[in-house]
Amino acid sequence: MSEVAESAGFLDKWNGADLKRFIGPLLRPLGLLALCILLSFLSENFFTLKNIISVLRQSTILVVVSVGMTVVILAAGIDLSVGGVMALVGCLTSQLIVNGMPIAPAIVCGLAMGIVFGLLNGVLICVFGLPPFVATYGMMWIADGLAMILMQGKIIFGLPDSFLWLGSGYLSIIPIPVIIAVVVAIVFHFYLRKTVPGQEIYALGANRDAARYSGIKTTKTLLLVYSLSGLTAAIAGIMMTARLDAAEEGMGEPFTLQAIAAVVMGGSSLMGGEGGIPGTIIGALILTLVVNGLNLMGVSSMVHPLVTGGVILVAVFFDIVTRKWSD
Amino acid sequence: MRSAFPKGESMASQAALLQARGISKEFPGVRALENVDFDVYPGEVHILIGENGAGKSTLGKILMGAYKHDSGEILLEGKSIKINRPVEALRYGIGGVHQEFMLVPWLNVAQNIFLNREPRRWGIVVDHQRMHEESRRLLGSLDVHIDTTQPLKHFGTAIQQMVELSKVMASNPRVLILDEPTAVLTEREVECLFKRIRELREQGIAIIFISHRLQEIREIGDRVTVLRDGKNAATGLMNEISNDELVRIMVGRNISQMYPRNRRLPGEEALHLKGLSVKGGPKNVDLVVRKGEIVGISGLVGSGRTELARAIFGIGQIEQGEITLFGDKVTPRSPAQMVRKRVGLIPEDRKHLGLTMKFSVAWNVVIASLKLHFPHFVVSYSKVSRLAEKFVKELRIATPTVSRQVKYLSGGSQQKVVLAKWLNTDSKLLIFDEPTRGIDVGAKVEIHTLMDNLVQNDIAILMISSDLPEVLGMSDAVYVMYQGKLSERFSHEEATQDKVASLMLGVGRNEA
Amino acid sequence: MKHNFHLRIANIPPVSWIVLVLFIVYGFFAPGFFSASNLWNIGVQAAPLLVLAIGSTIVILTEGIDLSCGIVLGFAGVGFALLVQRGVPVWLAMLGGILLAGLCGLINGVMVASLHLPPFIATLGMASVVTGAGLISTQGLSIAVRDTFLDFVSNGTLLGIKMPILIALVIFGGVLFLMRYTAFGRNIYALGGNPEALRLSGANSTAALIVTYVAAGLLAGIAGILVASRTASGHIASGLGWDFDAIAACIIGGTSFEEGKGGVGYTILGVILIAVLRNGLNVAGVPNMYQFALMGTVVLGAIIFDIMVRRLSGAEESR
Repeated sequence: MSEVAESAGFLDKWNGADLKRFIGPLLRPLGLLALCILLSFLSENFFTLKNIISVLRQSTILVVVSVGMTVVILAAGIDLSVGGVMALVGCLTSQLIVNGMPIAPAIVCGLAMGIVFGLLNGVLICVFGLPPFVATYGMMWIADGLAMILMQGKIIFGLPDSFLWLGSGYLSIIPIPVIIAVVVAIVFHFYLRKTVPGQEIYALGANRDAARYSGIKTTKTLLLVYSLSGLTAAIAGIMMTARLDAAEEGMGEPFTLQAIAAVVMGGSSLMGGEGGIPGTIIGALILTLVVNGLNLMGVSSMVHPLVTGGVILVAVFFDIVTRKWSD
Repeated sequence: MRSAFPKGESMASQAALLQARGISKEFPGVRALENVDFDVYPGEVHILIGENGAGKSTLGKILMGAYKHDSGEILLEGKSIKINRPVEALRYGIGGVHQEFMLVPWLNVAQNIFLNREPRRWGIVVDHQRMHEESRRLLGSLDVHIDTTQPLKHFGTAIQQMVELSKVMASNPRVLILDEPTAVLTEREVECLFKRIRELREQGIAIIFISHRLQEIREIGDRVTVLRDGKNAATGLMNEISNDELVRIMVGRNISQMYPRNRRLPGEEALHLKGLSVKGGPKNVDLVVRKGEIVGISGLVGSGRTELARAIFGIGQIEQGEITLFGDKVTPRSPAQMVRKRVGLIPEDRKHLGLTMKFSVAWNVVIASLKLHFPHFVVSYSKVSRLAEKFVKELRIATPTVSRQVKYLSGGSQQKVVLAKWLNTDSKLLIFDEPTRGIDVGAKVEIHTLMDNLVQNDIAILMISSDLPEVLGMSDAVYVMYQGKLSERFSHEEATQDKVASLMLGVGRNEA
Repeated sequence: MKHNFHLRIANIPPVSWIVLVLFIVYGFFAPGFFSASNLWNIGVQAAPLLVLAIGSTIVILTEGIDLSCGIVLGFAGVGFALLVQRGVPVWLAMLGGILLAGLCGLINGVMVASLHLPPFIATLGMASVVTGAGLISTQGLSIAVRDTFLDFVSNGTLLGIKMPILIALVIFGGVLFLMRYTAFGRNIYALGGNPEALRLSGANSTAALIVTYVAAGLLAGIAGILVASRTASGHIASGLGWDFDAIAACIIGGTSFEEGKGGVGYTILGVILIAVLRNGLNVAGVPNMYQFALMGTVVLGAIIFDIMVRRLSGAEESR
């Protein structure tokens, strides 16, 4: 019902402050558009169908992880463990498959692992009262460590084609990963906006105490939120393994910060209670485009963390400034 | 009670030390002060009195530099001054102690008193020894003897207030502003404070004493100014105005109009507490609330009433005792559980605990009853709007649409939204914690009328209030809480102002 | 009268008892643990962590966090090594590396204090940017440095104490003094407890917060130099994972996130625990890859243990 709150702007007197509030939400899609135009100038290869599909496919892993991160941030939390969970689940699933388990149960195991990790995060935060970034940061190390133990320093590759289909298969011209990402995004969007638990998540993020005093089960909802984040991290991890046909520990590392960035750039406030999936998707696309653009221009991959970090900081700063306008 | 300056005409020959002229101040949705005049002379105690929400705290904060006024001017010894921060006010010799202390919990007492003014050796190194000596001296003059090396957090609110006061006294102010200083003090502590105030008055310090407690201000005040709804209502000498007149001026209307009640025969028991003890709160409480009646709990701030309300609602730990709700024994463990059992709490801190400010009226009205209205999981916005509109009409909530953000509503309308939230869950027992605090007089009457309507419909109401006339006027039965112990139950006729007021201060108690 | 200075028995965090238990356990299971050379070893390994953790402590006291300190540690080493490569005298290059880290801290501080970015995003973003900068400037390689002064700093002995330990202890003492006797220290506590009170008392709370992050940066830089001198090289990843250890040391030592409670004096206990833990695992021959997960579990466990004990005895806190 945040749209009910946001629409309040239109029903008030039309003055300067409301103009800024009106522009704010439009800024992001406009930014995406501007970026596309810029990139098409910088590289002639940008607007080819091949590249566009490639970019969409590239963005899917980030989109899936960011969707889960959106839910956590909406509830005024944070999950720094998603990168580790991605790697752990990817490694676990591929280990199971390589050792003979059929694909479907192996995937289920991987997803279950993601949910379990999410629950553990939730327990640390709700029951033991650890601040979210300490708890999830610690769990990240544990996930990384478990992945290390699992892989014993080796890399797995040569996974069966039926599994790799998840990463490189097509349904007519649409890549499977894109379908997975779209389905995940739609399901979560519907969940957040149109269901009772979704509204409770917004309530929790906007004002946790008021939510509690209104009879919302805050502990249960938070456990749910972190489990969902673990779940999406697991899905993303499996998608990544299927795409790369490789699993190694540490492979999810850059995604944690990028997911947070996508969510924040998409308009969700880190304080919780504001934002949603559509904005996150735009944020994820922008980030993917930035990396895609850098690649097209032949920039070395060492520059990537610099640019990503810079983009994130600038985006968060702008978000805070535009938020002040609409207050 | 002596007056340090001559009465009547000769007052004009002395110059006022501090003057406020035409002060106005607005907050979003509320006009706190409108064109207010005020002054204070050296060597007098000038009482600033008014109901909750009348603007006296706001005026005090403006004079001590915590708020900036929108229009008007402040004059010190006749010269206009501008104050942006409390530390600037202190430089002018104006010091204030307000209700939210400006203290750092984990620094020790001395460090708090001398924050940013620590005595130094060689200009850089903090001289802890001197700091502690000075702090002990300042506190000692208030008859407070504590270990100043302890972190401030280890002490209760009363001591913290004394620390805050010492902090102000350390800069030798000429004007001292005290905002509700006795709210957290015991009788003995109040006496100490008053003794010190009299000493300061002898020294020629101008003292502004903000309160709404009629009992005390007679003891200490020389002049009194009444504010009502943010405007000047009256100013005069303390010994020329009676208490009844003060109340009449404060409230501005006939008292009987304020508390519209149609008393009826109550139904069966809704809530029964037997020997209830709450961790960090009241002990051994016996209480009954029946359907169709309003039970009021009176008491001083900090006496434990809010802790009781929270415990009934599922927040806070119950150490022993029994709670019977509508005939069934129950152990409240969470608000979610109690809401399911048809209990609602309208909390004292409306803005942070009762409402989610940045969301709309409609959202706030339905948030507690989502599962009730949408058992199939999916939320329909049109149904939400319809429900909200129904309550907006019924409760006469002043808002142009249901999608307006709650933070723009007036205090009275906000309280109605909270009430609507619980009516939406079909609550049968409602706990009101300070139902009309910070609400203008007109809205107060509306809320009281609503409460009366509710009990006509068989709802049980437990009302906690520090507003004595409200408790006396609205309740069918009255209890008084004092330092964690609840008194016996008084019927409406038995509960007289004198009896309740003295019980609030702990007088006439039989020690159990 | 130095009341705040002495660690009161009641305030010693319960986790210190775990250190004691560990000592005993290791005494039995890890032969060679109690040898003099091993104990010096622990100290030398712990020295950079102590310096780093002091920086983390002061930031946490202001209710902030510095997730970039591990990367900045490596970056200082990189800066140092590059300067030496270009012929700058070693002691000057060390200063350069430290100042570089201080610059990172300054940027962090400005982002948090003036631009009001949430600390964990600001420092997380900073970590990413510095990682990139470090990778670019070294092409991801490690840059070796050979110098006698360097050997002295990492291996030498002064007053019978190994240099790294001495440096760390001197810094520890220095910061303790600053915390207790100067405005710097008082500001940090105030920023964490009630920044409004500080601002209203006339101090520049924004500047104070920036100074805090600068100090944390400088300390990370010093830690980076200590590490670089021991490995005789500068590498951007040399501090990877240290931020978690540093934060863990603070929490275990008793510095709390919510209240502005705790202090530098307590952090040393947490550092000892972690250093002892790592050393014990090494001496007992536990393979590296298990250490990761094990450390994470033990540290989280220690934090939980700490919280539970505090909660159980928490009732008597405010009289």
